[in-house]
Formats: sequence, C-alpha cells, structure tokens
Amino acid sequence: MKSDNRIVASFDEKRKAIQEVYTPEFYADLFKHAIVRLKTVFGIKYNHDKGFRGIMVEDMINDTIEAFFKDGGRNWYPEKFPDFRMQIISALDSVISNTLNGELDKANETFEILENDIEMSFDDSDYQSLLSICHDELTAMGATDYELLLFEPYIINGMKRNDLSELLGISNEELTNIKKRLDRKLPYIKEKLKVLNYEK
Amino acid sequence: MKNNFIKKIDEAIISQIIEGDSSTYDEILKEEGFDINEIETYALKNFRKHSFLLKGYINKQRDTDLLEKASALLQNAITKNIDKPVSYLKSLIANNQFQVQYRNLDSLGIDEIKEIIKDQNLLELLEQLENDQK
Repeated sequence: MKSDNRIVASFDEKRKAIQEVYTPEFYADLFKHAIVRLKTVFGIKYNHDKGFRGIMVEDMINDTIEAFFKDGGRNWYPEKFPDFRMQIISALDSVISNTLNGELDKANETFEILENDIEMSFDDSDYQSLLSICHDELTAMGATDYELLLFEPYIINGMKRNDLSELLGISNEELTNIKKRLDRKLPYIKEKLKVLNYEK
Repeated sequence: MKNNFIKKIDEAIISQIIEGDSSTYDEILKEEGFDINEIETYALKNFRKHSFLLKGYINKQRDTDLLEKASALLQNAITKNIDKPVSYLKSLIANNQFQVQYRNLDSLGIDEIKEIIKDQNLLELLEQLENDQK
C-alpha cells in the first residue's frame, strides 16, 4: 500500500508486527522513555501514581499503540522504520509533545524529525561549530576525555563498536562502559542543541 | 545541520532500546531519584491490562475490516453476475431469516450485505471471494 508515494504497512502487517514487539519489556522501555522525555524536554518530574495534571503516561502509550489500528489512524512506514518499535517510539514522542504542548503551550521539536526529515548534508563550518558546542556541554557535564573522543565517531558518524575499539585501541568491554556513560548524557545534549539559537 | 546532529543523537538513544538495553534510561532515572523497580512493576501491571484490551480491540477492527472487504467483493460480484459468490449469497439468504426481506440481489446495499454475512467465517469467505474474482 502507498501513501504520499511512501510504502505503508497494511493492517495485517501491523497486527503481526505488534504481536512480535509488544512485550512487557518493550512496554517498560516506552514508559521509561516517556518519563525521561518529560524530564529532559519539559522539565517535568513525573509521578506515576498521580500523573501530571491528569495526564498519565500509560494513557499516552496506550493511545499511541491503538492509533495504529484505528480506521484512518497512524501509519507505519516500513522503509523509514524497518523495526515497528522505532515507528511506535516516534509516534509516542509525537503524542507526548502534542499532549504536553497543549497543556503547557510550549513549542518543542520532537523525535518526529526522524519521520519527516529531509536528508541534510554536513557543511564543514557548521559541523565544527556544533561539534564544539556538544563537546563543551559534555565537558560541563563532566565527560571524560574518552567520552569526548567517542562522541563524534560513535554518535555523529555512527561507527560500529568493533571499529571504534580498533581505532581507539581499547577493549570492547572498556568501550561499552565509556559508551554507556556517554549515552546517559545524550538526552541532555540533545535538549541543549534544541534550545540553541543556531538555525543553520 | 542542527537537526542533523539532533537526529544522530536520537538514533543513538533509540537504538539502545531496540537492542533491548535500557541501562541508559535506568541510570538517568536513578539520577533523577526514580525507583526503577517501582516503574517496571507499575509498567508491567499496565501492560497486562492493556495487552488484553488491545488484543480485543485489534480483533474487532480486523473483523470490521474483513466485513468491509467481503461485502464490497460480494457487491462487485452481484454487479458482474459472477456465479459462485452470487450462489453463495443466495444460499445464505435462503437459509435464514433474510429470505423474505431480500428477494432481489440487485437491490442489496452494502450495509444489507454486511448484515447477511456478518456471522460467517469472514477470512475464509474473503479468500474464496478473491479467488472467484481472479
């Protein structure tokens, strides 16, 4: 099936995919993702017993999933998101932003840029400026030299772990530990970049 | 350019979840004072409830979808006078309470066709109809 010249999954394809990916673990990950997002994007410390002004994370997750099966509801674009979970997370981000923006009247970009983005090429001068901003933020958060070293090849250039291990001359195990420490700082770096008055 | 950086960071964060590694989120949440076990227990309780409801919801939507498709194929078969589906529909009408109500197949609307076939095995019917119309 095609929509706007993009291939969209049929109801049956979505039904089969949800049976595979909708597990307790994935639900818990969605829950954590939503709480982290509420904190990093909106500065809200979520309380799962009380919710936030009547907004409950579980309602946003449930609505997001059900929307894929409603007549005229959300689409899954398998070419863009081969893994259905990626599409669900993107949709959840959109639901969170819409719900919270409605509540807080605060404009924020969302992970939807992954769904709607136009591929952009890196321009050298902008690239270096942004990289420098990221490094400064990482340093301010107490990143080690290895974390700073890893940011560009691992996050921005998407290098594989084995190649990085070889390049930096450190073991896979050590690399995993550095990567984990760096990963924890990423949501904050992302939000810093978003509020940055840097439009290029 | 800025969006490209944000996109790369997003991809790195999300790929961890897809790989089944939520340790980054766990660490962030712990630093923010959350109890991971409490969150996971609460999420599990909601998952159980929702997965049950979702199954029913999807089945209902699927039946509606099948009924729509089968009815449309039957209406098309009536218009084109395709033997097998027309005979099938006639036999359904003859064997139940619709006998008096629907004497003329040509005048059947889509909602009336849905009413006649709604209790049949829609998946089998749809497969059969698709074969008949090839």
